[in-house]
This record gives sequence, structure tokens and C-alpha cells, in this order.
Amino acid sequence: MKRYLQLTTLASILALMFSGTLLAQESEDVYPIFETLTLIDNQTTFNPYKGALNLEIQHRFAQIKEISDIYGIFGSANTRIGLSYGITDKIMVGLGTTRSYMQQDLNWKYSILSQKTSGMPISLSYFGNAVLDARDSKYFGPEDEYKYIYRFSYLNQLIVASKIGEKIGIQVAPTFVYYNAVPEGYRNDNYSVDVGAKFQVFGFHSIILEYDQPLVQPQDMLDDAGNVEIEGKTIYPNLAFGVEIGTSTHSFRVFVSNYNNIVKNRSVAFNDRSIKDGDFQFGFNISIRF
Amino acid sequence: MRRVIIIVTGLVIAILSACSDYTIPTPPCEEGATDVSYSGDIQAIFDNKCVSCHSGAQSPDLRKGWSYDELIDGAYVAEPEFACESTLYQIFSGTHDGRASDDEILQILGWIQEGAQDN
Repeated sequence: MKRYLQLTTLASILALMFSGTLLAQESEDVYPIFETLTLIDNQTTFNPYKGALNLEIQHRFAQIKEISDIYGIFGSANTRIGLSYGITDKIMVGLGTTRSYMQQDLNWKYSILSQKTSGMPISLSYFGNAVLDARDSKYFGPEDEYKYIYRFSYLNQLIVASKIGEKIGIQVAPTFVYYNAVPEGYRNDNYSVDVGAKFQVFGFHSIILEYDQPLVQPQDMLDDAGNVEIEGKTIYPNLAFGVEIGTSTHSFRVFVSNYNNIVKNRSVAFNDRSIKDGDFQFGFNISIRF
Repeated sequence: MRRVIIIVTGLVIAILSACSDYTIPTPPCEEGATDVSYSGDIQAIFDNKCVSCHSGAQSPDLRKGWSYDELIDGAYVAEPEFACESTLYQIFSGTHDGRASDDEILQILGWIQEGAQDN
């Protein structure tokens, strides 16, 4: 935790130092390669322009298993609908609602740095959210211990992105997720590094990829005698890849992923589906800019 | 502009400061209903609450005549001592929460605890 805070502070200081250099050089912004708020499920450094509204529809089908349910398409699905608004060219706020776990999210993003033609090789954004789990209170423990804040989880991340040449974009995001209440076998504080990439094949059509590596795992809970009372669960990395089909106002992304939690908080803290076991599913996102 | 930044920062700090590190204890497995009939009680729940979706295309098929074999062959039902870990019970009390009443969920639990008979 201490090391994470030190790294975050160092990154912020470097960002401020770079921003000073930037003003002195007066070079132009690089046209962003990430032109949607999310790549697949991870946020990008892109922000809506001042006054712009962005609608995001994110859908995940059931796990790919057999032909009888058309490989998950007839199965139980998860959907999120989100709206994001650009308060300024650099500050965004958004709201979303997700079917799974009845999650209601408030999110915000601040664009700290933009990649320039010279002097600034990266874009840097901070993204955060607070997510409310609106299910019945019985899911948060015994009635006499229940507190409303048990419903909340939070995500904070710094997103570093760079456009390499004209067709390739990469991004890396150290991420911290905190759950006020977790079931036995899981952690309240969770850390991961999220990596994303985009390769423009032709026009606005691209191949997209995401991978999230959890940095910590839940520990076993021991009783007074030192025996394992509750075994810590295994949290698996998240992998998703697919294609993006873009137009001037819309972006369609079709992909497979090994997790069906659209809100990143749950994917980082609870993903129980292994890439090695092939626990994948189809999904799509539609982004519309107004 | 400055006012917006102050309001947003204040909001973020207020939300982030409301933290706890609670671990939700796993509730003990309760006793389900007794003398539950599959054809009379459980199939009636499926008929009223499930078959609008689970009627062949979406697995498991919960129509009368198909449902029992689908549940058993698909391992939706565990041994009686692990009834609360059954996929069928967990779906009704988890991802499909609200689709069946508390009494109906107790009937499903009781049916599993009594050995998941085709009675």
C-alpha cells in the first residue's frame, strides 16, 4: 500500500513537471488513437469535449459452452447503460447502471496530459468511480451489523497512453480498487495493472486487446490455532480481445472476454474465471457521441 | 471553473472517506420446507416464474417433462448435505434474486435437502 502511494505520488509529480515543459514548447496535440471512453472495459485517456454527451451501451452474453444456446447468446446476459458528459475538455463526469449486482456507478475522469507532436510522448489521465450495489440488504451480512456504506466500492487509476506511429496505441493503468465489504475469502483492497492496445487495420477499423494482471491475492484466514478457517479465493487475470468498427459518431466493439463484470471494480476484485480453462464469452459495446 | 473543481474534489473526498473493511460472513444453511413434491410444488414454481425464458432455447429447459432430467444431468442439484451450495439454489438466491418468493426458495431448498426426488 505504502509503495503504491509512493509510486502514485511520483507519477503525479512527473506529470506536473512534464506539463511545465510542454507549455514552453508550444507543440501541437497528437490526434488521439483512443477515440472512445472505454477500450473494452478499461477506460482510455480520451475525454468528451466540453458540452459533449456520450452514451455507452455495454453487453455481455453468457459463457461460451455449447451450440444449444448458440455459445452463450441465448444465455443469461449482463448489460450496462452509461452516460458521460464533458464539463470541460479535460473533466468528465458519468453515470451508469448495470444489471449484474444492480450496480449504480458515478465516475469521473481528468485529463492531466495530452500527447504532443514533440516534447510530450504520452497522454495521462486520472479515472475514479464510486459504485453502489443496490441489491437487498440481506446480501451484506446479518441485519444487526448492516451499514449502508457496505454497498460501496471505489476504483482509482492513472492511465498512461501513447500513440506509436499512426496505427498503434498502447496504454498502461495502475489500478486500486477498494470494497467496503467483501464476502469471506476476498480482499477489501485490491491492486492491478491494466494494459490495453489498439491496432488500426484500415480506416476506423481496429483490433483491440486488454489484459489486467492482479497484483495481490486474498489470504487464507487462520483461526487461533493457526489452522485455515477460510481459504482465500484465487483471483484470475482478465483478458479481452476483439475488433472495433468506428464511424464519425458511433463506435462498435465486438470481442470475447474471460469475465462478465462490466464495471471494472468487480473484475479486479472477484474474477473467478480462468483464461487457461477457456471461460470466455462474447460481448459488444456501442458508443454514441452527441 | 474553480468552483466546479472545488465541488468535484469535495465530492470525491467525501465519498472516499466513507470506508470500512468489513468481511460479510457466509450465512449458515437454513432448513428448507418439508414434504415437498417435485411435480406439485417445484414444477409449479418453474411454470409460473421460469419457463417464459427457460423453454428450450435457454438452458436448463424447465418445462414439465424435461426439467427434472435437465437439473440432474446438468448438475444443478447437489447432495442433501451441500444443498445450499447447489447451483439451482444459488441462482434463485443470487443472480435471479427476486424471481421467486422467499417461501418458494425454501421449497426448492427443502426439495434438495430431501434428496431431490422425482416425486
